[in-house]
Amino acid sequence: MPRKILFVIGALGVLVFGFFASGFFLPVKGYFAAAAASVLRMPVDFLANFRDAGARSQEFERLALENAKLKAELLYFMNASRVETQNNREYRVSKIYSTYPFNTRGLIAVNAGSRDGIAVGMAVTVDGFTFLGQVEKTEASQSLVRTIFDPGWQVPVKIGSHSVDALLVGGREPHLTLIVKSGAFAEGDPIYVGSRDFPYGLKIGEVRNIKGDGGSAFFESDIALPYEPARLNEVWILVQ
Amino acid sequence: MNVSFSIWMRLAVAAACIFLAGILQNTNALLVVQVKPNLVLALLAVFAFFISDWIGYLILIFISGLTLRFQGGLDIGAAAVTVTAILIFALRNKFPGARFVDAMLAVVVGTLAFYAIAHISLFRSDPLTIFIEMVYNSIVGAGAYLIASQFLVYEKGFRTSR
Repeated sequence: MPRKILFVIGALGVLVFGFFASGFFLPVKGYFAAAAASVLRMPVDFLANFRDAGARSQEFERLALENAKLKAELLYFMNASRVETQNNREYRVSKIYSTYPFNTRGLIAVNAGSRDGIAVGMAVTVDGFTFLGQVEKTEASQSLVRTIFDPGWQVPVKIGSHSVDALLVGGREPHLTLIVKSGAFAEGDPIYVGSRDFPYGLKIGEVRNIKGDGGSAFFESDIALPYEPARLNEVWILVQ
Repeated sequence: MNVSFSIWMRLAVAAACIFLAGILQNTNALLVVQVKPNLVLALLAVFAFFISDWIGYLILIFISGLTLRFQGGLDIGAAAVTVTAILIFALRNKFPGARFVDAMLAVVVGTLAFYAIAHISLFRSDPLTIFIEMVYNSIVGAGAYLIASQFLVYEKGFRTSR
């Protein structure tokens, strides 16, 4: 018996020694300990899921909101008006918000206003050089622009290299009137702004379909525009 | 289905149509030969023959005013649509023919009345624009009539006048 007891004690001592001192069992112990811990944690984790579900949901919502905000910011900066400089002229390039809902006016609303340096009377162009209209009214972040498609709007213009005087009359199809008969001009000649209210020389379009007989003192003509009005989605406002 | 619920649902559909038409009218999406249709006026003229009570119709007019108003202060265009629509609604029983013919007539007369209020000088300076818009509005009105006849059918409380 004592020998058996000694044997058992000796065996246990070797195991204890090996377990704690040799490190031989450490990986095995770690594996089992981790397995045991995970098994024991399972019910705790299961219950904790319920406890943390709200927080995780909130976190998800916060990330979703942040993502939406970043997308909105990106869209805002893509659509925001910007400043362009060409030939020492400064332009505010603005998106067209909306167009007047009836055919009675040729107004457009753009997304730049007094906060962006826009003032009443500024010239508005299609691309920096092609005249479109004039700022009629400004608010903090948007402006109303009267275009050459506004019925009845009249702007003094010049035609061709000889600077023949004429009057642009706005409307669904803007046209020229009061073209001096003695002036030298032809179909295809450029039409440009001759009003003191705007920078001299901004092009409007070209002469097309000259009309007038011997009985009238002046010619009239249509205007060939270099752009499709329905496709315009931004304008260049001449700031300086 | 509850009748009153049905009435308000139908009115909501009509209001949604007016709202979408108003938004669309503020774009150049439907511009043809530099003329845009007066979608809202065409729809209001047609709906006048499907809605019996003033309250429902005034709600539609209110929504149209919201979407068509383009600038602060009095907007003559939006005001002209409002006045024209009220006139059409008040006089809808005076129209002589069948309902479809009456609705088309209302669209045509409404277009002329709109220009008489909003920009009468255009009759002299650019009558072609008015004519093109009148045709355009009539086409829109015919489409609106077909749609309205599907969801704004005669029903007690919703339309009692005809």
